[in-house]
Amino acid sequence: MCQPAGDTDRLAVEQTRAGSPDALAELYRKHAAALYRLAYRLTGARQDAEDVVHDVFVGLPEALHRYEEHGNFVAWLKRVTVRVALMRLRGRQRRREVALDATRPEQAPPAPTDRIALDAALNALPDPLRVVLILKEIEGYSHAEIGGLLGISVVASRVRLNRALKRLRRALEDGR
Amino acid sequence: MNASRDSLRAVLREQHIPEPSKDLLPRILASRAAGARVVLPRGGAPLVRWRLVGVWLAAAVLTVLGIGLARWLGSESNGDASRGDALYAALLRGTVVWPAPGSAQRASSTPRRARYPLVVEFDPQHVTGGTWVYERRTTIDDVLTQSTGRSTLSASSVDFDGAPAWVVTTQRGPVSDAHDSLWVSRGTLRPLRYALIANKGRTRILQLYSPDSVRETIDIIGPSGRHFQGAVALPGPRHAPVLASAHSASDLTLLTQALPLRRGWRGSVYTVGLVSPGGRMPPVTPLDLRVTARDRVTVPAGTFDCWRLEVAQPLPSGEYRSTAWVSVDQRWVVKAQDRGGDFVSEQLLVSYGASPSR
Repeated sequence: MCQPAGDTDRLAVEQTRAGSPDALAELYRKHAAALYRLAYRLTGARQDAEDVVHDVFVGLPEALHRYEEHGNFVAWLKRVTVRVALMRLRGRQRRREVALDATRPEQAPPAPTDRIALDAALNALPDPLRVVLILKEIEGYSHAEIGGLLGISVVASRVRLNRALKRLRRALEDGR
Repeated sequence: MNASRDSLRAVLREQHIPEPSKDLLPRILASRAAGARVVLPRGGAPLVRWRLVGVWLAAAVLTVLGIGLARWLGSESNGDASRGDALYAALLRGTVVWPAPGSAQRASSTPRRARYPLVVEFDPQHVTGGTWVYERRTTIDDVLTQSTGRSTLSASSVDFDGAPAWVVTTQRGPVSDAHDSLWVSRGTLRPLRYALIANKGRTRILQLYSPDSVRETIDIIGPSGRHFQGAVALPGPRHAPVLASAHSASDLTLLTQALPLRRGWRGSVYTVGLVSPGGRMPPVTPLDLRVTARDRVTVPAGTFDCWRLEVAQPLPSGEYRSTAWVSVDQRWVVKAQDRGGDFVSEQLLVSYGASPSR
């Protein structure tokens, strides 16, 4: 899931750290889409996802002082994004402006019924379960990494994933 | 859908995700340019939200500059950043976006009218020194409550040019390295001198008060250092108290001890902000104070019988309101509350320690 920071990233990272808006914009253009998708999946709302990405990039120049060059930049960036998104989830009632809205035919490409149902079921999951599901099944984090991010044990992460999958399947079957 | 784990994963990855707004990057860059900063969580650290955009910018302006209540002195929510805001942001960052020195000179300014009669009846003998420690909390969207550190206000009795005075110092916690000291006449509760050092010593503000005016110098030290000065007349009678460096309602503690608060009491005092730079915020504005209720308030320091003191300040952008709960017995501010668009900022009294020189 994680790509090593390339030379172009390294230069942009260095310049962003020094306060260059152009370099920050370059990092945004390169990574914001992926971070936004991640934030959207975690928060389930476009506005929240945008706020997360906004906060990440506004804070990035200072945060980069804590980033070690030999580390994996993209992975680090994603971890930061996950944490900011989790803070947002913990800090407020998640706006249920709903993935369903985003998948309505007039706003999105035609989607299979199953996918609409899946979005709805996913959105209906409690945050603690949905977050583990997203991080494990989509982002590819290990249970150990998820445990570290969420402050829970590996076992708890596994349990939450299983519960999420069960609920998801049940919700989809009920919706048939 | 009897999806296998793999197919489920595949479908999940195909979830349609709307595009982010096209103006997201410009907004990010604009936020940075305006001085907004977000402290992102460290890897592996406890999850604490530090949403600084807007809220923290306002708080930091207050904290660093000592210009008195950005919440009172100029939180205009809808864009239109005035030159004054830019100046304060520049001060905050230690950068040099300043007006021409000529435009920074201000010989006088007509303050807005106070709503209530100016406070002239008060009891300065009732004021005691001491140390008040407040915990600052910010609640965002009615959900997230976050402690943003502690501030300590200390008042000690000193001699100032042969006359008894209070020297009031404020430490505002981890947000800022600013140190400020305010000398106040013990007899009139009018400021005598105010000094602030911030930005690791690069920003220095000095205000010298006479009975009817205040002179100010601001020095920005460094390669692009600048010097500004200004003066403004103080309105109202010479025996009426005046506030300086009032960052939040908790900074009223020295004044409220002297006020004859009772049900229905009301009165106004003038407060002085920055004098030198131009901008939307006037250097002197009235604070209109009104007792609206008597409440039982519990804070970390204990439970207090309090007057609820509504504080209103007319600003060019509209009237700004905050609330202070003042203990009936000691007349300390035990709780102060400011409300913004989507946040409530509170200061709660944690402890009080008597000064040896009461």
